Amino acid sequence: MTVMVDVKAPAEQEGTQAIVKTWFKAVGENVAEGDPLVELETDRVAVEVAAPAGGVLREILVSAEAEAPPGAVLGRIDEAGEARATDGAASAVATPQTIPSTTGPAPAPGGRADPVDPEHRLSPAVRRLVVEHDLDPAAIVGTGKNGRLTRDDVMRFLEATPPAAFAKGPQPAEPSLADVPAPGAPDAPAGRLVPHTSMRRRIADHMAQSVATAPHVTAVFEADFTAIAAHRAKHKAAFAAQGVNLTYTAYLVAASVAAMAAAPTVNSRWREDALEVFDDVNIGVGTALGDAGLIVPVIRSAQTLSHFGVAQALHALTEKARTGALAPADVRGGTFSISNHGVSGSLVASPIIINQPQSAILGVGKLEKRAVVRTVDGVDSLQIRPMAYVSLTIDHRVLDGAQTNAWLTRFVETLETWPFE
Amino acid sequence: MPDDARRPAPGSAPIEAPAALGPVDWPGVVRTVLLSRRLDALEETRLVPEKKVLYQFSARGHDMAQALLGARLTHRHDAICGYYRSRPALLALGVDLEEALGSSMGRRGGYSDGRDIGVVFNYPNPDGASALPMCGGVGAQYTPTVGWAQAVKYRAETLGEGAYAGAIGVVLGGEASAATNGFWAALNVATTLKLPMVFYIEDNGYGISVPSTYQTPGADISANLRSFKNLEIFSGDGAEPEEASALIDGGVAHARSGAGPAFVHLRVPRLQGHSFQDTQTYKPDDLVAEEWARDPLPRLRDYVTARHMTVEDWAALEDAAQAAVDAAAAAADARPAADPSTVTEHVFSGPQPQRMGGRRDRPGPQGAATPEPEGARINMVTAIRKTLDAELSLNAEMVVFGEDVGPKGGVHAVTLGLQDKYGEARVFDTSLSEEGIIGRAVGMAVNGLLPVPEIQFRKYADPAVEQINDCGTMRWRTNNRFAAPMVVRMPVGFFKCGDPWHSQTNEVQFVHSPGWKVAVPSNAEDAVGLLRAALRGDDPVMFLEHRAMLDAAWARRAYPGDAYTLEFGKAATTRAGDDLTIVTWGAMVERCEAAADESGRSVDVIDLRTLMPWDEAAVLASVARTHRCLIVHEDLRTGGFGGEIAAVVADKAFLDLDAPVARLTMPDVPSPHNPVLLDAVVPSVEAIAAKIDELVTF
Repeated sequence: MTVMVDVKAPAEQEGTQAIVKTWFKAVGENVAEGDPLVELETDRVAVEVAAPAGGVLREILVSAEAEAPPGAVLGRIDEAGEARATDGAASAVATPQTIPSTTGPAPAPGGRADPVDPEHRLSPAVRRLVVEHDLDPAAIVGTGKNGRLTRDDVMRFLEATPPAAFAKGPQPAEPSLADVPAPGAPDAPAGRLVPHTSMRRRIADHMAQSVATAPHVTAVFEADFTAIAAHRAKHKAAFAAQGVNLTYTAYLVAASVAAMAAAPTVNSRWREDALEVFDDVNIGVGTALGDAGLIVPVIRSAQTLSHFGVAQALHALTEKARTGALAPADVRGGTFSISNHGVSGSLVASPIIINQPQSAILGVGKLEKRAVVRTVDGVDSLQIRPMAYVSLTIDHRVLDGAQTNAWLTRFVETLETWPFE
Repeated sequence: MPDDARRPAPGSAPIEAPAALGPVDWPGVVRTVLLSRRLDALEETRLVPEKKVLYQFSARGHDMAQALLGARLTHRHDAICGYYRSRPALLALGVDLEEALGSSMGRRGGYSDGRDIGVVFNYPNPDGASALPMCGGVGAQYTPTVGWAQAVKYRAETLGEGAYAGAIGVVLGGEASAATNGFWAALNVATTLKLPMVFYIEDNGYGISVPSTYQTPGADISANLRSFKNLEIFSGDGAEPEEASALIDGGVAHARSGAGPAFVHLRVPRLQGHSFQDTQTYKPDDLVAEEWARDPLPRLRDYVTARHMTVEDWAALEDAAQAAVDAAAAAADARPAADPSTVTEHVFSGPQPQRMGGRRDRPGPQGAATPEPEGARINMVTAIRKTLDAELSLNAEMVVFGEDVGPKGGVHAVTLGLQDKYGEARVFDTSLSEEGIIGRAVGMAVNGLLPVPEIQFRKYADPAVEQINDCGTMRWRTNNRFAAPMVVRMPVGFFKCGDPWHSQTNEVQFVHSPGWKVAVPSNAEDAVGLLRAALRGDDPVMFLEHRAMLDAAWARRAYPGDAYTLEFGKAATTRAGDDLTIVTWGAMVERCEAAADESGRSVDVIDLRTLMPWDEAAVLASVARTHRCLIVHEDLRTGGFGGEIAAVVADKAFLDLDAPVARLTMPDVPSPHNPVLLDAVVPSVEAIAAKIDELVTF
């Protein structure tokens, strides 16, 4: 008698698409309850699904590289050991499938849950055609087994579709682009094709959607970092002693929270019939992951945190982002975002694309010493100060110049008047 | 005269050498023995410790008798086949010292260009006695020597070539090798056919460490052979110069006389271990001392200095031997290793002809690549018989033989009537020994005949596997000095029913045996073309005749003419289509065609026709068009030739593939007898059609 326990994808996950990245066990291998069993990768995060029960992995229903919708049954574990212990009662059980599993509702009686595993993988011949003709395979109907795209499907598609219509890249709007032959053509420039990662695709979709949705306007102020630099110098060691790295970003988060009081509608979301203004200030901080892209972990309810609390939360999220250990909750629920684009040298970036469905994003340029004029005791003097351009890019549907400048004014003021203690 | 009268007792009075052989060249014998001793010493003290020689076998103790034997191989068409302790005999034939040492050191040139062990000799000699390529396996030397002797007899008596009169084959073996299958196979053939042959057994009492009491009861093989008919036995002390000389001369003269084979059984001491690595701890000290007391060298010196030379002559010969060995050692050591890029050459016949074996210098008439069908359709049996008949009539050096091929005409009737037409010398029954059949063919082929042996059923080739493998590698391991082209005909596969003994295919075993070409015709026309190409070729060929197709209606074709030859490695596309490529051969071709028709799909059916070489280009070209590949074969799945095809397609057509490369084969079980069981395991038309559907709709 066997008792099968379903291994399921999490009901909730960050992003719309999760893909099975790795099965840590093969069919037939023993697993212990709680063992890491399968790794899912969304466009944002990697998620490990632990074995819901101990036993033998009997089936893999969603294999590597296949899509794993929320709640989908990914595989099944045979709880053989427990089944033996209850052999005496086995006759009372109609079918193995009806035995309640320990981790959730039983599958429909009498049958396996439909694995919903359409075949998305491409054969070598199809893959070559897709690359040669720069096709989007998702745009072609597959007639093979489980909807697999066959070579004939692609050939029929090519025959039926005018060449200009199927290219998945940008249309050749400019002559210079049209002049560039397809990769592999005899006169093509030397180069290579770098396949998109799911993160890259997600970023591309997200950016294009944001720009198409929100009219972007950017306002630029200048901030003097003298006060926070002094504060940071004084407290950095004490923070470090508690295992927390005190960065300028912690000050930017705190100043953003303060600025929300001057213009609360910056912390909002455009909805068709109303503007949703948030009480919680959940601030996302863009974190670069090299060529792979970037990820935006979120400090939740930043308005409730002390300065140390902000620094601590930042430190923890940054570490997770760098090690790929971010949980879906860590990147969810942001109401406002900060882009530290200056860390890699830029003074001003515009527009910084709003992290939809938020209404605004703060940009912080490169911190550098500049000569500035300050009036001391009624006398103008030239001083050297650590300065940065700070910008707020807003969704003009939501905000106007007044709220934008009010927000930036309060933000700069907060930084420049940071108390020394 | 009773046999015993010709068998001298040990230590009996000297026997006069048969007058026909002339006096013994004692200085020559001494020279050979001294050279052998110094070569052994050089290897043991210098070349082995310096790791320049990796395998070393001392001939010390065996050397004098071998020198006497070699000195008697004076007929231009004599041949000797030895084993790893046979260097003194080879030196006596005139093998060059530098060649011998360079071969021991695995250097360029020599017997094998460094491909084979230096003690595994071969010596093609157009002007005198040759050494047939010996083998590393004990006992493998016997049946090829029988083949040589039968070829000598065939040439002298059937072809009337007077130059072969009096020539002999001589095989050397230790007493332990008299326990091998090859020994008995050869002994039966040589005695039943009264072949001109000498069995020369060096009895040193040990097979490596195993005493000869394990090899033959009473440890005396010649005593046990006394009742063997047609065998003259010459047994005695091989360490006593005069006695050994007399026994050898008696054996050689008997074999040359045409009265049948001689069995020369000499007791000799093995004064070293089996090889350099063997320390002889299994021999009691007093036995070792007794063996050294029997060292033939001091006896030879005493004998010749008393009768044929002075002590000073002996000393001069010693000095000359030392000088010759020193010079040869320096020259051999100066030889480099062979160019590694050449090591894949000479597996098959190439631009450079071999020095000995086959009929490359006597090619038959030019073949025609285009069939000229004539008359009604004939079945494969008749087509093969007509081809053998036509080639027998053209080529007097061609012989056809096997179990039941004579008056019965073969159990499949392929050779029916051929003995009547060409006589018992050319088409003949053999003893029931597959090793004897194939090994004999090897010796015949080296002699220049075209042997066409038949193995009655595929699995009956098992006892011949050693000879098959050694035949295939001959060209490569002698660096193209020797080759043994032959055509082995063998029925394979099921016929109405199956069974584990008559019905296997297992073509892949021969594909995996370097040097063999493998033909697997599916129909009468291809069978004619491939068989004729094989018979006029220069390589060993396995010609596998499928039992189910021999009389199958589907396989019948019009006879394509007496000139038609079909090049190996050229597949036939028997159905043309665009959706799937099926690669198959033999009995499965008919089924694949039927399945393709039944499926309604557009399918390329490729009949490979030969598996070594196989038409990779045709398969890849087809898969480039169809993007799908199915391989169907009757042989078992794991390790079957389909795996090789699938690997090549996956490797070279990867980007063409739109479906998995699939195989349909028998499962890994022996062939079952009951037709119901057989049908369940051999790919059926229905199973192939279903697989076609599965792949096309993948």
